[in-house]
Amino acid sequence: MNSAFWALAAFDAVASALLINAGVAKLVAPGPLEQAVAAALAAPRGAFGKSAVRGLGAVELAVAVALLVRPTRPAAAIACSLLGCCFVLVGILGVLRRSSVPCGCFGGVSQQPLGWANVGLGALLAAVWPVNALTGPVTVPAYTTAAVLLASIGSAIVCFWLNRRLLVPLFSARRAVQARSEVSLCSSS
Amino acid sequence: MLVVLGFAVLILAVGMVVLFAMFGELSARVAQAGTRPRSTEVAPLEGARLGCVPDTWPAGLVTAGEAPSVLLVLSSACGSCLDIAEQLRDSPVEAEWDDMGIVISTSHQETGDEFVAGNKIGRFPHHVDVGGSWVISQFDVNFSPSALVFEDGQLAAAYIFHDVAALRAKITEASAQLGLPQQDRETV
Repeated sequence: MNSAFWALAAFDAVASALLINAGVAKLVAPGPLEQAVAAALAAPRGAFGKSAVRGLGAVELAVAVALLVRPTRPAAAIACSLLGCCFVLVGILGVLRRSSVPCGCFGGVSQQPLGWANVGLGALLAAVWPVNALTGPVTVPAYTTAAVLLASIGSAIVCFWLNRRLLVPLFSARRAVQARSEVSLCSSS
Repeated sequence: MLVVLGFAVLILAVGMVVLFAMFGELSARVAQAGTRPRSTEVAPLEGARLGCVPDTWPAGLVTAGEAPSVLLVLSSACGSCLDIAEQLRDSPVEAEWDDMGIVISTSHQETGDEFVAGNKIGRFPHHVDVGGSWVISQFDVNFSPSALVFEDGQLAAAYIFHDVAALRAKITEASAQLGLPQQDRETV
């Protein structure tokens, strides 16, 4: 196993981690993205339906998993690049339309509207197929194991980063102590 | 075997992502619920010792030898009090409320100081009332957010409120109509 093998496994794992987080978020909370896309396309609210967003989330999850498995990797890389191109286009559309609706690309915690962040992440995903094509066929059976483990770690890191606003207060011992010991004069709130 | 273990770890990671996605959605919904319009109702607070003159005023509430004519009783642990502190901080009109003081009832001095600093309401005369001891012993007020209105040092009225502008309007209206806002004559 050489460095190119590990680099490819890590790159695919990063793309997979992003897709896992994005796909799960769309399955759990499709509403924000549905509204954001409708706003970017100047379509009436609810024009696309939550099931369409959930379908996209399911596709993202499927591509994420397939990208980690050696036999399905080439096809998944193409699908990943196509998804990336779509995200780039939607991001550009958001910039042109000056969208202000939170995109919800990563669920309820995504408060940024469609824009350059989508273009950047879309470009990263779009690069998956070229990178995999340039690397050539992977003959090392350990690719799947390495990619799956790296994607697990990457998914956790991306998840923690996306939800840092929820997590940071939990690690503030001071606030936790305060919350437990607070004696409130309140009789109502 | 290692591949199976890898996929097991991946499934656990995906499960964690699902949980966090649910937390995020819940958090977003709670935030949306918090944007609902606040109540502008100002109601009399029952049980306050109207007519009472406090034995002592905490030093933090006295400005140039004079006690405030309106005292807002807030708690560091209630959401409405936090909202009121934000109104005082953000509204330039409320920021110029001269004869108003704030009592922050809290469990620890440090928590009250953090409440004042965090909400940037330190420019108002204020007193951190640990355990609510002062406000309860002097006025028998154990409810927050509430407002105590004084006239000549006497507690003339006590209100429950959620909107600072509505409270000020109520105090102004009561002063204009009755001279003194006598709570026992009010029908709010």
